[in-house]
Amino acid sequence: MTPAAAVVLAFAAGQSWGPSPMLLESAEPHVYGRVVLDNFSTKAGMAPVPFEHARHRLLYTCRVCHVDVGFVMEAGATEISAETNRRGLHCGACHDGKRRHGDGTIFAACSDPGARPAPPACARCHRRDTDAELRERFERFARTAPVDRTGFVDWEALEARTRPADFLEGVTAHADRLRNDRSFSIPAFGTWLGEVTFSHPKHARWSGCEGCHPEVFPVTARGAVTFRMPDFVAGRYCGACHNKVAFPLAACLRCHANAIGALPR
Amino acid sequence: MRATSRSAAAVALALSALLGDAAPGTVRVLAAARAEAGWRAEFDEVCGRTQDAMAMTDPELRDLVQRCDKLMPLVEQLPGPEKNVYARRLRKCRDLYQFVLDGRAKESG
Repeated sequence: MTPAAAVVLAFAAGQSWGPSPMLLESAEPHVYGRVVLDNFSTKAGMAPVPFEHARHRLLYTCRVCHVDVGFVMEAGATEISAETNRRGLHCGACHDGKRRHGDGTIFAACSDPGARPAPPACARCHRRDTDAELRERFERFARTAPVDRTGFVDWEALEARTRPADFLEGVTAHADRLRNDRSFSIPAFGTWLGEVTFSHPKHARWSGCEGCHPEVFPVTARGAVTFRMPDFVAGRYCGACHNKVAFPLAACLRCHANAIGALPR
Repeated sequence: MRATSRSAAAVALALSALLGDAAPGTVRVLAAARAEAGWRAEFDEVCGRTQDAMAMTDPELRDLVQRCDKLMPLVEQLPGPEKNVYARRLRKCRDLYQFVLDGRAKESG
């Protein structure tokens, strides 16, 4: 654990919270949401691919990649390879050397996989950045991005500026907006935190309905599931995204917006 | 991929017009292109309505579930990586429609 990591000790309030105290720890902001893809790279003598969610979610919603392109939210399960990229799947759905974004053309992924030594273009994705380089890159980015009190990028605020696309021509099956605009409250067990107001419109704009249901949230009947923080820490329910890519669990007041006690805002 | 299948269909149609239906290879290419264009159009249609799932009636949802089930064998005939991607996507659509149906049944039951 490093000093810059978002850490909160959540204390138990009765049995519902599980072991007490509970540590809500996440990666530091400069490596938050960074996933290293290495199903085949190292075996093929290449550096692995560190995928930075931050760089991509500036451009596209979660749904475009995790529903339409088909990236599974489980390490290794997508089976991304140079071949699938060349076939226009996975990274190659956008990185095909033809697709335009803004004024530019998105570079092609794995266009010459047999070449040895690997062409310089491969190093755009297959790279080994040092921690100092990552930190410097994040700090440069964070200078212009809205950052919340925990030091993490406030994507909700940033979305208003960047307007990430939720449609990919030739890949996305639809462009309709969600019609379910129901939000609802989830009572909190802790006495110092207010209830959580869950917004369907906010979440569906990013993830789509099928991004969450039924895989992440298999039951939605009111009261059928007791949502517990240890489950989130273990990556279930809200923890499928929060604490990995969406804002960390330690940012209590982003969800428990109406604090009853004395936690600083 | 959709653009590719359209191009394949166009080439196959052109060849078919030039050579006539007696050319067996052309017929096969044409059939494959039509089949691909067919599954993709149906895929876009059934998976293009997920955002409306909550506003649909039960019969509409049941119809979509059936169409997903009918489409799955075609998607499973695609080459390996395409099959993995599109079968997973189709399953997500199907499961969402079924999820909404199940949720309503529980609420009313």
